[in-house]
Amino acid sequence: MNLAKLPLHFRFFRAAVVYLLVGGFLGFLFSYEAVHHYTHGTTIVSGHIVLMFFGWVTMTIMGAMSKMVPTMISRDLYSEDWGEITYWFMNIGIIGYSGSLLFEGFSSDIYGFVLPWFYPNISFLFVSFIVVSCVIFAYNLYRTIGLRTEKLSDPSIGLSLDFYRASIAYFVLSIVIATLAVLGFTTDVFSPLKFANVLWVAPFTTLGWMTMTIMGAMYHLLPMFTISKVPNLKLAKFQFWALNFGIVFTGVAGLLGAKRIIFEGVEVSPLSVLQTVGVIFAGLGAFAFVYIMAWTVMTRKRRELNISMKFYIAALFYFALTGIFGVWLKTKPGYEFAEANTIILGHGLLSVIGFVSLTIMGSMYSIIPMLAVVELHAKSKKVPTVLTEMYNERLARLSFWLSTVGVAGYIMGLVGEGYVTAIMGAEAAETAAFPYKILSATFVFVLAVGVLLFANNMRKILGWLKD
Amino acid sequence: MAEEKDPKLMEKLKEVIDPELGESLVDMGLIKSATLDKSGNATVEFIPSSPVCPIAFYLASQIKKKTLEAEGVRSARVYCRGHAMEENINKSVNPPE
Repeated sequence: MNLAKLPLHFRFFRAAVVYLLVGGFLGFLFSYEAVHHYTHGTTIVSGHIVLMFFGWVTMTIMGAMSKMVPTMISRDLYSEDWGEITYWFMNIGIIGYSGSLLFEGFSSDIYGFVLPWFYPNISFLFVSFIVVSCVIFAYNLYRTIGLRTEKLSDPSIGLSLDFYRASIAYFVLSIVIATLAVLGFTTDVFSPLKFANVLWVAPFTTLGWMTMTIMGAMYHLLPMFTISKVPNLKLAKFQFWALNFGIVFTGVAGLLGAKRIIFEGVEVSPLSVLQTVGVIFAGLGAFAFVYIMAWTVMTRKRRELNISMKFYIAALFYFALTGIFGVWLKTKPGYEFAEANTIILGHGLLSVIGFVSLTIMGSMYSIIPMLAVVELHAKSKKVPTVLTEMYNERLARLSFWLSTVGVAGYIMGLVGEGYVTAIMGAEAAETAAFPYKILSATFVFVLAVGVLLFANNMRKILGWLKD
Repeated sequence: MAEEKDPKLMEKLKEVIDPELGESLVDMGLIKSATLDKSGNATVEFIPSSPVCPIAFYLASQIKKKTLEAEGVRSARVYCRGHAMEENINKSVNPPE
């Protein structure tokens, strides 16, 4: 199959699916006790995170934004060349950085080899490619959409653009803070960020970059798939600002050294107040979003839900659940209960698999075929009558159910394991936790099959573009 | 006031299927107007399912093709309404004669 001349956005999508398969395979292995025993705490896990965060999620977002955002304002991408550089730098950075982390984990952490003194510099070289690529991507997008957009044919487009502008800003901020932390600047006694470590970019990456982008996309994709409109734009704008306040307040409080918990009884400090207010705002923003999306689906003109909508509804359910879960974990009793067990991991995976990945999978089932139709039509090639001709519809439905049920079972297994560990203590819970480990392992397998079927369908769709 | 919809044109336009939704634009109520004058000049206005629908270009060209195939039509002009790129779409589907 000759796909060498694929337009940029399709190459981003294709690479993202490949990273999903590689990174997902590693994650699949980690969920089994025999592998987890060796890999836990090593840089192998970091390699998996790099593949999933930069490879799967960020490459998808970059590809979608490079095509969809200019279309929304009837312009071309500011520079296709910068787009190409972003694509290649991201690939070099992701492959190099994840590869170096995996190598370090296997050779040093597991087999005990002493790596040469210059080895960290190799990792940092590849990180630099990612950092430069992210900055170029942000510059290219801002030059395309500007800081304000006038003359929009529909106000909901302006709303989506606001989400995208904000999400790109949070992404750059995350990269800058992470770079400062990796370089050791935040540990300097004179740094105001001296308490911060790389984990404190979480509000900016998970809520700011991933969630804000997904929300921006859903504000125009969900009405498109249901032939409806965003029912209340004022509430949507409130939701946008509430989430922004939430991200900034919790993010800044964290960077300045606030503890990870709120509602600490009498121990009230300006930072804990800032963090508490931030969590309340973020919660309001998140639940207002779920409410607006549910309202949009309820008032739809089109009764039948396509495959993308099914993924979205499951993802929104998991998003609401992860929000409730997250607020509970921010309370003192919640944090103390879940602190040293798999409940926190369950919450994190519910968010990144249940919400982020299911949304991306759902979007890809419509966006890639639609853009492929545009490409086929432009080249005067055969265009399918309906998009579902481009992939196996039965396998798509099966991939939806396997992925959705797989996430639910996997998270239940992790929460169950965490619960018995919290009640009985780690050593005493060894036997009691065993059924939950079996549950997790079984449903991870179910999830993996769903992902494989999804990847196969994406391969089929891209196959329509072959010469 | 109801928009004019010529029955013959509407019947022909039922053949234009939205690939994303799998239904005809007529059945989805996305054809805003379809008129035919005595000289055989047809004018069709349609509204895509979203202001950012990526396949609006394709739909516009399909509408033009089917309109020209309708009985008694000598020329056709197709206008997309309410799309972020409607100016570009309308220019590309209605080139100056």
